[in-house]
Amino acid sequence: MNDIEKRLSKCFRAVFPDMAEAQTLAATQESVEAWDSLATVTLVTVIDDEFRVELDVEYLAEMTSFGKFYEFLTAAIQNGRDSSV
Amino acid sequence: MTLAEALNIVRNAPNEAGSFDVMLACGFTPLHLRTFLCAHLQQRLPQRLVRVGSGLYGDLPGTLERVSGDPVQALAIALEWSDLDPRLGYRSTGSWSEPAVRDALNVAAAALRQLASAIGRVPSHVRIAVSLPTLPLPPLFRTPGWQASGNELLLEHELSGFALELAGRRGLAVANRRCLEEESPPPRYHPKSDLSLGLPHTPAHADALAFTLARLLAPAAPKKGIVTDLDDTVWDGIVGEVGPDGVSWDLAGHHHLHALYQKLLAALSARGILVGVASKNDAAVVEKVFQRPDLVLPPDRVFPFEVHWDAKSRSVARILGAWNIAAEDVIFVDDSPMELAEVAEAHPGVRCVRFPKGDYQAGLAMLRELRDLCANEEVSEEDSLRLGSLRQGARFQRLVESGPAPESFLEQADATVTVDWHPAFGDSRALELVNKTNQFNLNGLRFAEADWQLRVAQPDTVLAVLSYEDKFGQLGRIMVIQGRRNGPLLEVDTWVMSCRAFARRIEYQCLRMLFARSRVSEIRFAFRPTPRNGPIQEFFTEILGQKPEGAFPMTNVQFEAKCPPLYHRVKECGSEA
Repeated sequence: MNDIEKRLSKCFRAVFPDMAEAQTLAATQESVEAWDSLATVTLVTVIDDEFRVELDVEYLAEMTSFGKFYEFLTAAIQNGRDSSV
Repeated sequence: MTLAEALNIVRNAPNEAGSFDVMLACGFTPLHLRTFLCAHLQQRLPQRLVRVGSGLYGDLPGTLERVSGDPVQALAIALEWSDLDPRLGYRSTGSWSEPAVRDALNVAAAALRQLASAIGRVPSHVRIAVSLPTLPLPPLFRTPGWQASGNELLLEHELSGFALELAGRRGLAVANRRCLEEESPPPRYHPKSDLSLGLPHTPAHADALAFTLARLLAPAAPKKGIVTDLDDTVWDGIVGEVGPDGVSWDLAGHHHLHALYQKLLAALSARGILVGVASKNDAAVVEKVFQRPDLVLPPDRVFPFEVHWDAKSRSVARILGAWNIAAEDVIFVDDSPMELAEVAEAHPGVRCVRFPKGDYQAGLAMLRELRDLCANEEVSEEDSLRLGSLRQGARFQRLVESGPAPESFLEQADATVTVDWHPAFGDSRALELVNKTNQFNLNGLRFAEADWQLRVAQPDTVLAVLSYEDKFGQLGRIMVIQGRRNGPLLEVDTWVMSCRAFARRIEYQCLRMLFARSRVSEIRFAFRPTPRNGPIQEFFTEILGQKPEGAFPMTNVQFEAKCPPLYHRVKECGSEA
C-alpha cells in the first residue's frame, strides 16, 4: 500500500471497525454489509478530516468502492486542489 | 475531536459495562451529532457503555412522546429553528412574505408551548439537556442583518420564555447559547449538507454542540474547596513589605481584579465551597488585613488559615486534612508559577490555577474557570452547614485531644442521630452524598439519577438517610445506606458517610439500627476496596478482625461483640421500610 492507500484504509476501518486492513482495498458497497448511505456520509467526513479534501455531496452516489475514493483523492491531490472538487 | 476519533472512542467502549442509554431528540438527521454525543459522553462516563438512540427525521415532538415509554437515563434535545416552523429553516419552500413570517412566528410560539408540554411529561428521573437553536436564521426579516427586527426579537422573546420555563425543572439543564457561541464560532451551518442530506451542522459545530450536551447530561463533580495565596492574589502587594494598610484591591488603585476575586471567593463560600488560605507571611500582619472593614471576602468565610513560612505544599496538606477531602476535590490558586509547581508536584490531584496579576483578560477567564469548576446546580442545606461543621469538627478534635478522655467526651456530646427510613422521592441529597463521598464509601459506585431512582423504587429496597447534631452544632444529612431484602438476609449495596461525621460512632449506630429495623441476623455488604475508601476498610477490619477483600457477610453477633458504647439519642422518621 502507498501512503494514500494506507491513510484511506485507516478511514475505512474507522467507519467499518470489523474490516481488516487487507480487506479495505477491495471494499465495495456491495461487499460490505454495513455500507449504507449514512456510512458513505460518515466516510466522506472522516476522509475530509484526514486529507483536508472536501468531496462535493453531488458525487456521493459515485463513491461506491475503495477504488473510487482512491481515484478521487489521487486526482484531487495531484491537481494540488484542497477545496471542493 | 474529529469524527474518526469519535468513532474510535465509541468502538472501544466497555461492552461488559452497565449501559447508559440516551435519547437524542432532534428534527434533523442526527448522524454526526449522535456519534459525537456518544463519544463525549463515553469519555465522561468511562465505566459505562453509552448508547445513543434517536427518533424519526422531522418528528421532534414524536420523539419526545416516545421517551416516556423508553427506558432511557438521559435525553438530549437539540432544537433548531426549523423544528419550530419549517419556514424558519432553509429546506422549506414556504413563503418569507410579511404575513407568512408573522404566521411562522405564531406557529413557532405554539410549537414551543407544545414542546414544553411534551418535555413536562418526560419521567422525572430522566436527566434532560436542551440546546436552543444554534444556527443562523434565514434572511426572512425585512430589516438588514445588522439591525434586529421586531419579529426576530419577538421570536427570541418566545424562546427565552420557553427556556426559562424549562430551566425551573429539576434535572433539566439548558445550554448557554453565549458560551456555545464562544466555543463554536461561525461557520456552523453547512448549507449543501443540509439541503442535500438534512445534516445542517458542520462537523466542527456538531462536535461542539455534542460536547455541550454531554457536559449537561454528565456534569463533572464540582470541586469542594479553594486554597488561595494572599499576596498579589487576594490583594495587590506584598503585605510583609507595604504593611496591612498598603495592600489594595480597589478600582482607584487599578487593582479591582483582586476585589473581583475576593467577591467570587465569598460567593462560592456562601454556596458551600470551602475557602482556605496558604500564605508565606507573618500571621499577625495578615490578621490585621483581615480586620480591615473594606475587605470584600469576610474573614469568617475562610477556614483554615495556614500563614507561616513553611512550604505551600505542606500548608495544602494540612488544609486537606482539616477539610478531610481528597486532593482531587481542591483548587490551589497562586500568582507564583514556582509555588504552583511545588504544590502540583506534592499533590498531583490538586487543580493548580495561576492568578494572572495585571492581565485582566486572563483574570476574568480565571474567575470563570473557578466558577465553572465549583459550579453546582443546587445548593443544599448541607452546603450551607459545611463550613460551620468543619469548624465544629476542628473544635471537636481539639476537645477530644486536650479535654476529658474521648469516651466521656462522646458521652457528653449530647448527640442525636435522626434516621429517615423513607426519604422523599426525588430528594437529591442522598444521591449527591453517594456520588461525592470517597473515603467512607462501601464500593465507590456512582449512579446516574435515573439508575438511583430505579434502584430505590424497588419494593424490597431499604433506604435510610441519617442526620446528626450534637451540642457543637448540626452536621445535617451525612450518611446514606441502601440495601435489599433477600430472604433472611439484608444485602447492602451502598453505604456512604460524609467525612465531616467521622469519629462520632454514627456508623456503629447505623448498623445497630439496621439490624434491629430489618430483623435480620446477617447483613451482606457489597464491599469493594478502592484506592480512597481506607476509612471504611478500617471500620470493617475492626469488626471482622481482618481486612475484607471483597463482598462479605456480617452477623449481628459479630457486630455487637465489637460495637463500642453508643451515646446518641436516636430519632426515627419515615414510613415502614
